Amino acid sequence: MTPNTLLNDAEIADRVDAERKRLMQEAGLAEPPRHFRRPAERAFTARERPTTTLLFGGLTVKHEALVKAALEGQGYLCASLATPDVKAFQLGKEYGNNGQCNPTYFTVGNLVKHLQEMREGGTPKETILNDYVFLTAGACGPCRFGMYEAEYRLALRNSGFDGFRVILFQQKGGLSQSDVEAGLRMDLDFFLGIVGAIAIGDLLNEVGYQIRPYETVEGSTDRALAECMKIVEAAVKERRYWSLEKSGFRFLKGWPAAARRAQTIGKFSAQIFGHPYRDALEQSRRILAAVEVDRTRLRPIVKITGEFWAQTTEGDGNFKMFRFLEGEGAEVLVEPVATWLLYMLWQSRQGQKDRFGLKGNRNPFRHLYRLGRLSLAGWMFTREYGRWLKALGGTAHAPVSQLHLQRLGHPHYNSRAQGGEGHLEVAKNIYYSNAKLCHMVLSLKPFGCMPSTQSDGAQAAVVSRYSDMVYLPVETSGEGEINAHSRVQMALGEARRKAKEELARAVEESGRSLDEIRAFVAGRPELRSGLTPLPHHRRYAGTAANFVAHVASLMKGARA
Amino acid sequence: MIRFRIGLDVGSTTVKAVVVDAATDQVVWKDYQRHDSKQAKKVAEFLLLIEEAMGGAGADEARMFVTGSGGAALVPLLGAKFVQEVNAVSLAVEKLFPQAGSVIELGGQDAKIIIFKEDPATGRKKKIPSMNDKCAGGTGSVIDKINAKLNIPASELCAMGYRGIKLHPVAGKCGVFAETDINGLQKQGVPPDELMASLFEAIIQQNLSVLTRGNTLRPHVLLLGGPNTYIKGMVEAWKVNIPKVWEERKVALPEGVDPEELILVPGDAQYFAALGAVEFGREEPENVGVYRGSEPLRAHLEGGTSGRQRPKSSRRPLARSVQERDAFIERFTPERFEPARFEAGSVVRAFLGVDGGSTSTKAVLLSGEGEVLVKTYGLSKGNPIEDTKSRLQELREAVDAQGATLEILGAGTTGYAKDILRDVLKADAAIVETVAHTESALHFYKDADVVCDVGGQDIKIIVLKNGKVKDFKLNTQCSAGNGYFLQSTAANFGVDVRDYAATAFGAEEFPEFGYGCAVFMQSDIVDFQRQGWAPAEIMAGLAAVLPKNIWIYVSQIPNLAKLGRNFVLQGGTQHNLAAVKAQVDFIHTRFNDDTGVKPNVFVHKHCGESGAIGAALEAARLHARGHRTEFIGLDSVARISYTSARNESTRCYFCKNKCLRTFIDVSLKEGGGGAPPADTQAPVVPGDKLPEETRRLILATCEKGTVEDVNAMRKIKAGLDDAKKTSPDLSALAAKRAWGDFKPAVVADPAPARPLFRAARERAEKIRAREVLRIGIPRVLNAYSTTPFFTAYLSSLGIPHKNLVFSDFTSETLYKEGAKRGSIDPCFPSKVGIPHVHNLLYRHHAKSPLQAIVFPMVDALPSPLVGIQASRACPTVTATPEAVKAAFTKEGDVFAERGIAYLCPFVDFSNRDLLVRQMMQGFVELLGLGEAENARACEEGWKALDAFMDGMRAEGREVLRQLEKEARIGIVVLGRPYHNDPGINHEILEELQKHGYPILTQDHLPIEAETLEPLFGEEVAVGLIESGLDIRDVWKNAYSENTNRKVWAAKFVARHPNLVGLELSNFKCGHDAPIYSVVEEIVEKSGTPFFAFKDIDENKPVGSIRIRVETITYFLKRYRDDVVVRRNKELRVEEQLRAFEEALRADPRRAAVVA
Repeated sequence: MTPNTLLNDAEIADRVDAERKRLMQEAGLAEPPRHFRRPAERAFTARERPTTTLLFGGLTVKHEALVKAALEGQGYLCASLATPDVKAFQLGKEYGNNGQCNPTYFTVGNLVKHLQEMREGGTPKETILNDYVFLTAGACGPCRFGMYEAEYRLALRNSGFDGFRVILFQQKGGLSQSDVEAGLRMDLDFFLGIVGAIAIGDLLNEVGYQIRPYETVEGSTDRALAECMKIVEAAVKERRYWSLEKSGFRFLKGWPAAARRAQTIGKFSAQIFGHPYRDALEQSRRILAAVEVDRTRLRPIVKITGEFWAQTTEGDGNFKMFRFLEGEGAEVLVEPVATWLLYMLWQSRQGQKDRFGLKGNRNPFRHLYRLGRLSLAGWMFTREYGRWLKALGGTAHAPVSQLHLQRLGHPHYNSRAQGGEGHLEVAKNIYYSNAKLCHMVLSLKPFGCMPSTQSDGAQAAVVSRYSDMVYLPVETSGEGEINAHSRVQMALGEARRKAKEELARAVEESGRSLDEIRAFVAGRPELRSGLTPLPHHRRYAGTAANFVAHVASLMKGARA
Repeated sequence: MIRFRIGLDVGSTTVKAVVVDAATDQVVWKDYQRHDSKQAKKVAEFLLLIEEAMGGAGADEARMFVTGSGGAALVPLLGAKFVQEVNAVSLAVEKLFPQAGSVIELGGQDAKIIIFKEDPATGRKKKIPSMNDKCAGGTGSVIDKINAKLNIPASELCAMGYRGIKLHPVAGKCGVFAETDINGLQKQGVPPDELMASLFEAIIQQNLSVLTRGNTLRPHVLLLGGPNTYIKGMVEAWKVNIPKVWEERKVALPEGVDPEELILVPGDAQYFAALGAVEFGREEPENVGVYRGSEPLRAHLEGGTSGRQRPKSSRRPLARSVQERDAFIERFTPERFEPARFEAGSVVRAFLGVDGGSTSTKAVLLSGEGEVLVKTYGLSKGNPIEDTKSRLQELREAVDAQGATLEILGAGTTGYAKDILRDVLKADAAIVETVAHTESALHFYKDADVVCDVGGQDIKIIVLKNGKVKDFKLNTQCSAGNGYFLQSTAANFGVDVRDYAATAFGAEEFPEFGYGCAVFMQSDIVDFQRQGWAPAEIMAGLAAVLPKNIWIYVSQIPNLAKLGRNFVLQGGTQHNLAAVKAQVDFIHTRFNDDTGVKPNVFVHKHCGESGAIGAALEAARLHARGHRTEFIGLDSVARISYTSARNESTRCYFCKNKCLRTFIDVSLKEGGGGAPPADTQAPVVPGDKLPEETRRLILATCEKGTVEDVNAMRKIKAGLDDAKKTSPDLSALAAKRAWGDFKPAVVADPAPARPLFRAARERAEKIRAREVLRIGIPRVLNAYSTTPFFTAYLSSLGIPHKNLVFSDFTSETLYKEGAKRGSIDPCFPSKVGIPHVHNLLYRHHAKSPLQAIVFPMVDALPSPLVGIQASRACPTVTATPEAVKAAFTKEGDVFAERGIAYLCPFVDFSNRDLLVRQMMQGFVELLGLGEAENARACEEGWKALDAFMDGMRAEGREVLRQLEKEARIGIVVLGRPYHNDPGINHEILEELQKHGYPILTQDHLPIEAETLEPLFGEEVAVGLIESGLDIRDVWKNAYSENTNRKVWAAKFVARHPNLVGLELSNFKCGHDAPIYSVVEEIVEKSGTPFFAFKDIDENKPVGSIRIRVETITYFLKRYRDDVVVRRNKELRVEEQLRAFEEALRADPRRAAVVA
């Protein structure tokens, strides 16, 4: 400052500012405030695709093997995580926030466990951070599932894998998922591959659970399934998708919009008019049909429902419930992931219908177009599922109509309240009990699952309204297996009693003795095949009762 | 040839067995014995007796059916068949007592209820069975645990009653909470019979409200299991409470029979499961369950195979080698304390510190130089005054024994009983435990960065920076896995707590416990024993899990290096070197420091007495500042006698709550010594003149209750009212205003004058009926933020606001009355939904009939925030009305029976157009709505909602202005709207407000530009965020509105110098859990204090709340000092700048230029 200079207002302001800084510094007030920022997310780019391994998990072993095959077939490197166990749960608890639901702890901990094992196995941390990403589904609520991503990041940071990439694809995002477009090609092939893998996984799982309780040679079902998996995995991996480039419509490449549309139509047409995986499934059918079974065995059927993950996993996450039930002499009717996919589509369709006529939704043509797209997707999936089901012998169940489920569940639990486990759980309980498809419904609810807990509240009224219903909700957690099993045994006692009475009734109504039935079956190998379709008698739920009725009618025919 | 059927029931605490002659079906032998956690051994003993009873029948002449939680593991060795307990009990009941309508069986760790419901169509009985899950709350183990604590002999316990005995609130949900409550009541002088009766009440209420899953117990009710069979009070408690439920639910009972006679303990109640197992066997094929004889089990036991069947463990021993163990013990064993030597005849001038803890009482004498002269430690015998007298006597004797005389220069108290001890002793200070422990740690370890205190019930982590407290973490209401738990487990194994470490170090491997819940760990112990783990291994496992409880469960700090380098471990539990070893190892593994620096861990040399030392240091500090003590003197201490009472005569009538108080009359009169036992029934007449040298201490739930005189109370109240004015609790105000009348314009269609068609006539009727329609609205959940919309909507359609009837605020009474209908166990705010509707039905409707109850399902909320994905409500909250509906419609439709319509319109506040449609759908049936009037009414609803929100923000703005002006601190509640409910927030906010801190909620924070600009302006300017209402910089998965608002409010608090954050969150809150770390990091990163009360449930943990509130206020006092210093500095800078600018402008040439 030159003392003799005359200062204007702006200069004075500058001087004051400079002086302020100096004084603040002097007073120890100059330190800028520090604020928390969400850590920056590192992208997964297209360039990294050839050297990056996609990790994923959260379904059953069969589903994951098939998804892996589908992704590898599309040129990705990938690996599925092991089924989450108690160790994974404990790691999830240690490195995550307190008070999370079980699926969070199990799945988050499972990723940490996998990475820790990689590190202990000698893979450098840098390699883990650079050459691997974790792929998981995302959601915009309503339950905390939509926040899992943050929980993954927190646990990774706390366990020393800060910066490890977690990438999301939105459950309802369909084909427009720009967030992950870079590394993952979220195109139609991707979805057709994944959805096909999931559907076939569902079917193989269900058929396995149908046959195993009745196998006459222990382990024969699992051996047959292992063989089938090899065949189907190869088929899924080697599937070649229709593409414009390899078709007679190559000339459209010069018109991008038309090419895009042609690409979509071509792929859909190839899916609808072709029959991908048919050969592999038919081959599998022959293998499974060779498993010898004795369907006169008394086996109460336990339908599994509950929270998505707890009802799907086959490990400690639900106390290995399916194997436990089989060990206790039950037949398990597992829940297909397909129901979830159809539910997602249905919810979008319902949301569209509820909003028609409101601002932004007044154009009837657009409304019909949107509804049509969603309906088409649902129709296509159901059709493909049905075709694969048939190719695999036709003994598995087709997904239940979402409309039917909505009508059953809505009076007890508003179907507009999302979360999946709400009205669906209620509806499935009513549906499977009333349609005589099971003797007992077991709902697997993770500790802390919000919609599932509330739907259990609504079930209180449902159960009292249907006198013959055996419904048991079991809270799953990483601990307390003995207690949970005991509670299942408690309800299973009642289910077994129902199955026993039903079988006795079926035998009586057949006019034959069980020994006569067995003698008839002994001479007919087709009745001892694991994949012989069994007509469902409206009065019987159990396999044995239905089998007795079926055989009795065959015996009648044979005599005639 | 099968001659006998054996039923064996291996429970968690006892073994029961029956032998039935297969030919005659008669019981030929039975027995019932405790197994003291040695199931297999006891079963082996039983087998010999059984074989003897069968008169030498061969093994293949008997069949065995085993039931009970411990039975399954033994089945292969016995050749038996396993039968699930509930199925076994059901079969026995069906055979022995076919008229039973329900069964309640309480076991050691299990509780079961079976209700038999007849299907009117088929006449078949359907079973509705229910079992507790892993949690053993509400079972016999809770009684066992508390009984052990109270030291009541088994015979006395069995004779203890319930009827006519005064009951006190005790949490029944959880054994740990129950224990905490019983502890507190015991210290208030409540006698054992009242404690046990209160516990019986808690247990039966827990079972009625949770285990029945909302079903009604049908007569006859059979009471089975040990506690029901043997404890008189339990039976009485059922007999008193079940008929009340029958009466309320109008259950048809046989005429002329006393309802209590329909609740009974049948003969052989303890054998029902074993008998049922035999019944089960009757239906099984002959080749099932053929008894293998006792030999295989005996061989199994003799072969020492107790550990061979268990699962493999990957856990190493606590110490990998003897050398490692010995080196550790040598390093960490605290140096032996040698009491000071005094010269005979000398006067020892010392400061006294007393720590009246939950499980023990400690006292020390400290020299003027801060040296510990004498110390003493003793387990609590239940009464802190008695305990303290004993401790002080010991201190005095230690000095007297050397011929010296003790002079107390000052006295300080701390711990659970600090206030009562301060008052009795006239001590100079009563300081909260956290402060006491910190002072003590710093006294001996000047460079301490972290103090970790593990006491009997509490875990405290105190983080220091430059010798000042920077942060603290305390366990919440749950005292999981604490010192007392280790101690009681050792005792159960018959191991002296002093031998704990030696025993645990002997284990070569150990089972891995899940950390967190002590009740679950208790169940784990039983499971591990079943799996074959030995006591030493289980004790090692428990020691190993302790650090996880401390550092993961309580403090959630994954990287300990962030806290500093020097860790001081203290508290009585650190005497256990096995626990110390586990902690030291854990700290090392969690010390992720890239610089390679390793932690230094110290065990406080006086770890058991550190609290008492802290209290003495405080007394010394006051003395140094010139304070002179009024301590009553050791002679007077020896003379202390007292009577205490807590009964109707001590009830406080100063407000409508009418709380019970404890009066303690303390006498120091000569000859009054000898400490007569506390006579709790002593006639205490409030207001009576007290005898000479007698003082009355009053323990009350609030300040007003601490006096007897109404004028004194008024004075206290005036003080409280003043505090409310200067430091308002805006949360409480919002809780009141949400239900107010926003006086909307009436926009209803007129009723059609001459309706032609039926539909029009019906509509006209409904429109006219609106004027007299009375609608009940539960005061719960998001109603705290959305009700103005609904009330204005309804009022604008012609329903007078006075006809909108709200349920009462949540209270313990309201909760207890209605909770029994619930069938699920979600978060507390959701769980109170049923009690609130119950309150409307059974209280308000009973007074004046309601025609409808409206409980909206709010799917999405309005949001002021930008850039969020959605503004959904929590799914638990949204769906609560459905669970509530089920609770009142599962056994007959309670609404229909009363002519009440139960409406739960599904509404989306994030889409105004959709909301209009949804309101129409929701209310058209009740109100006969027209489309246009519905839309107009929605507009009125929005106006009211806006006015409500604007009003809150205006209040918030005013409070902020005051805080800034006065450089004071305000507390922002980072919670959810329903945390405004005093019954949900457990009055924590009121407690803090009383200390002079205004309370704001996140909805009170202003959102207009002039407030946001100074806080967020720079970040907006550099493009980090779009506006001050953008949270994308901190939180990505932003679809849950109340979560989003919490995150935003945390950002606001982090940037405002006069605010601190207080997070409230409920147990099982699914939308809070994922943001725990985010919220904490947002606030703390900026250096702003952050406090949290998590896991809030129906249990009100008074003791834990008190410690936290006192610690928070201690903390805030110091923070405010910092704020004042900073503010003064800022003012000085502003002043200097003004002078600087004036000087620049004062240049005379400038004046000339301007002119």
